[in-house]
Amino acid sequence: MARQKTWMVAASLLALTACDPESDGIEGVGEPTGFAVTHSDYESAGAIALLDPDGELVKARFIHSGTVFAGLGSALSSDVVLPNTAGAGSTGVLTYIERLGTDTVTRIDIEAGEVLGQVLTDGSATDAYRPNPYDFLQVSEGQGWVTRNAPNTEASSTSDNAGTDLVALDLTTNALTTDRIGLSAMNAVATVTNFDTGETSDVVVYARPARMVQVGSRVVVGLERISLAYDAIGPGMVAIANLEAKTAVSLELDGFSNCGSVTPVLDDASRVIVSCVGSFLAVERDEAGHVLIHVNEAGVATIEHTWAAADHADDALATSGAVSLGGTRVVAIATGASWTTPPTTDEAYVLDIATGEMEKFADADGAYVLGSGAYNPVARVLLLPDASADADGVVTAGLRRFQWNTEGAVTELSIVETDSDIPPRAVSALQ
Amino acid sequence: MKSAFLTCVWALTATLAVTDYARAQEAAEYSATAVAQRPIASTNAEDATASGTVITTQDRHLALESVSEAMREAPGTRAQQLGGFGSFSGLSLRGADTAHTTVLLGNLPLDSVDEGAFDFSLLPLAMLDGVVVYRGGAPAWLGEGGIGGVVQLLPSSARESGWRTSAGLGSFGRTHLSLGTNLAPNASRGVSLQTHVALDAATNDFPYRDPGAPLVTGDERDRRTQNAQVTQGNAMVHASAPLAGGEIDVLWMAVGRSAGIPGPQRAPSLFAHRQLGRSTAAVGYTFKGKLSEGRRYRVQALIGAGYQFNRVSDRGQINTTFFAETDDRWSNGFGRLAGSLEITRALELTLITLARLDHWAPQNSLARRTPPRPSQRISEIAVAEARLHGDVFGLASELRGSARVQFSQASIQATRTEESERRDVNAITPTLRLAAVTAPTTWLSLGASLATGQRLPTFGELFGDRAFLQPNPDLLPETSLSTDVSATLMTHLDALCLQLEVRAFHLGVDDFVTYLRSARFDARPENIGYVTIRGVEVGSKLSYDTHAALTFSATAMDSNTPLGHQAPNTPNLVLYARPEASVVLNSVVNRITAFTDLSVVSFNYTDKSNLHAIPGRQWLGIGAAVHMLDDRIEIQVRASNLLDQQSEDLNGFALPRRALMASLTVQESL
Repeated sequence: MARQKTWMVAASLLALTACDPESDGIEGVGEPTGFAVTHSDYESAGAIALLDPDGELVKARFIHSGTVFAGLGSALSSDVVLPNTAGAGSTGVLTYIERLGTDTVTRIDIEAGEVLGQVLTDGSATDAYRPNPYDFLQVSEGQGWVTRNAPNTEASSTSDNAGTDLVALDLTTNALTTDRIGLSAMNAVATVTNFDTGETSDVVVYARPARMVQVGSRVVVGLERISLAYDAIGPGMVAIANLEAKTAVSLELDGFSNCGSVTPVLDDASRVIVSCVGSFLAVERDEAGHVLIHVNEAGVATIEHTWAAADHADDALATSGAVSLGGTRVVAIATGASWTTPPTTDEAYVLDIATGEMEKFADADGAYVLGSGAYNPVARVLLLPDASADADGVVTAGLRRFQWNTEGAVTELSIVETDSDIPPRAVSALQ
Repeated sequence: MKSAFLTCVWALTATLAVTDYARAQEAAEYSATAVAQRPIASTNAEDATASGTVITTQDRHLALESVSEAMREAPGTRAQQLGGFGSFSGLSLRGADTAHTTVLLGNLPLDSVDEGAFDFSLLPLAMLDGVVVYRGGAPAWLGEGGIGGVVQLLPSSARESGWRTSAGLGSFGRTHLSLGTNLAPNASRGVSLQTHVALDAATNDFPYRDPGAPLVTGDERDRRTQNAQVTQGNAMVHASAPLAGGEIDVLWMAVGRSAGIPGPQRAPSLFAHRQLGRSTAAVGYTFKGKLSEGRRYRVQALIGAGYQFNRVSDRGQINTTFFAETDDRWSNGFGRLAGSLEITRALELTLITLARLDHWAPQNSLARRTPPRPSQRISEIAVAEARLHGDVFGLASELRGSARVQFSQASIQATRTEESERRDVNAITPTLRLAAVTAPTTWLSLGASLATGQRLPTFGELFGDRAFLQPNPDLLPETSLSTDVSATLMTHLDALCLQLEVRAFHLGVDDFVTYLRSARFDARPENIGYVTIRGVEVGSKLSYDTHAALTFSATAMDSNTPLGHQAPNTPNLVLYARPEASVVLNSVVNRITAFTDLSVVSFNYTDKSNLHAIPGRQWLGIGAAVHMLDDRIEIQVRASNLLDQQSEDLNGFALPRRALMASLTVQESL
């Protein structure tokens, strides 16, 4: 009897260890959806929530890091972003990009909760290339393009797996294709100085394509132009890509740098706003700002307006998280700094790129907490993620909502709490 | 009957067999309460009120066993590794982080406030006589404390003249070669000298299953770990001699390692490489005696110095935003003066002062952005303890109260993006410990203890390791309170011997620091608020003469974070069991021992939100040891992870699959 008991205890202990937590799986959502919100602790956990067209929560954690057991990785990376724009043929589909370390593009049928495809963008199992995909643009039901931000130093610049490119995905086979637009012609060379020895050397500044917006027959691609070791930054530039011809031309943005962010202008299919955050190796303000670009039907891009932060030294350095309100007006975030004395916090502004007028409409409790928002022009409501949390990491804000009336006055509506543990980082409209 | 009893005494009071270069014979003769007056059952020799467990290295049967593997025998422990032989191997105590474990070599701190978690893979088990694992508050005599606890590594010493050589082979290119010599013309009182050199290597090209894209099936790939080769050399010289009525002890240990940095298997690195070297030397002098009425005293002086370098070569495969061609160097000096005196037969006072200088000089020849600059810290520590002992209501009892104050003056050069700032940080960190034990019988003791702890962020945490560990210059110091109650049973029935320790513990840590993995598979230390861990730990050693033995340890824990979840990297259950049986044969084949072992770690989460779990693992092993020709020759073979599970301790870093290992040891007494 005693022996039986001993074995029962032992078996119970073993059974306990075998009881790994069950995965939630992906549960389909039948209600109408209008927005998706990414959440991330910037460490191990990520989640995506779904909102209805009015911005109300429909499904928290539609997918998250523990949705399924994923072996040596997690089901959803904490470095997850949504496509810059809801592409053609993506109705009812949640598409997201997991960047460096996971390097995938995933599409999920929202209603069925079914994974339509998840594509590794590294293209090869033989090397250690991590492409760090930054954006995905679906151009038809069967095709999408992804920007691969990182260069592959082990491959030739003409290789299919060279990185620093746009590469096409076949959405019917869920595979990377050989259709590719290499942007290495937009690399540059910069001189860097060793801090200790004072010696100088030349390094390649890679184009590093980031976000993109389709404008007519062309795609405007923001370029970060940063060296491999992040020790040099090149002059501001965007690429104007022709997906049909698989070619790209560059447009220099004089006086700006680090111009990876591209935002479509509301209700204007021929214009984009490029946001440049400036050099993290120098005084950011010197090369930061916004550029409004027009692309004509022939694919020729011209700069219509610029707002250079250096010319507005007394204004906030609002260059992050741009959201178009139409015309030359844009919502932009001025990021705080926790390490300064006194520390500063994030602030949200409406900026007119043409006139330079700037008006603050919100601020946050911390730095690097206001994320990239989305605007509902019908309801005149801006959804703005606020990742503020208390000292214990408990989320204290959520998805903030701001409504403009016809006179242009703004009112803050109630916060939508999308997750109690993992702070919201970005919100995007679904098609 | 007599031999059975002696065997039992050996098995149960293994604590008395261990040696320590700094405290020399004192453990057996002086501080072991079990010997001094009425016996109090204790699983360590230094302090019967402490939750310490001794693991001896004699008569072990696991081929090519590592220090981390041996420490599984102590309850409350959990080893965490990043791969195969030569990869980082830390020890978590009672669910705390590996950085919460303070490590001493004898009485010489091997880690400090300026390094991260100690890497136990740097030391071969053969260079140690034993390991004492203290959970919660540690004995004041050690002079050190830790939020999780203290591990005291006891360097091996010569007991008799002779030599010993060992060769081993194993799966995944594992090779081992070592030679040790002992000179001890008069083992009990005379001069002794031990030298030990070892050379180890492994290719670590073990297989793993790459899951491919996480949400779809069909793209899984069977791959082999690349760039994980390791070559390591260790050397040790340990000498002691009588001097002016006391004993002087000299120790030098060094390790050099050249290794690839394979990275996490999901995002492998094919070219990153690391070279490291570490040298530690210490000279200690211990003097002890008796005053009137048999009141005893002891005095110990110890000075030590250490030097190490860490060279990482990486072109953006491990750390994707910085190139590294580093040559970081640490140097430190350490001094300790300790004394204790029995004021009366019932009251003993102990006073310890320590001073330490740590200097870190980083260098990166590829640093084109603001590089880190040298930092240093000077620490002065004072510890005072009062120990009351004697019979209370007829029960042998002991009460210890101690206070420790550390004053640290640090000059730290922190780098944050392009800004570099020098910070002078002065910190006073007082801690307290109160512990008591009473023995209703000679075979049972009951105890309780309370200890506070404080820990400053280390240089390693502030500046990273140039590879996986990312810096966090904004870390806050941690403070902790740990309590436990214990029951220790040590008894025998004829040849059946039992040592059993059962403890319930509670650990609360404010601004708890734990490493959290990022999407890039590197890890960054974070303060995650006030974390509590409570649990029960059980350790036992059961033996029947020399024929059979069972070693068992288990720890069940429940942790809680401010988000109301389980603390990251803290499993609910850790268990280790090893039954073994021996048969004595003849003069040629003296003895054959066969064993099987089971190591269990339940699932744990990688994140604060408890979304992503690392599944539990159950590793089964089997092996045998054959002793021949009067123990001159020993052959050991074993297989580990027999079920061939793919497991991880830290997400993304697969552990070796099923492996075979064998070793041949030849030794001769002169």
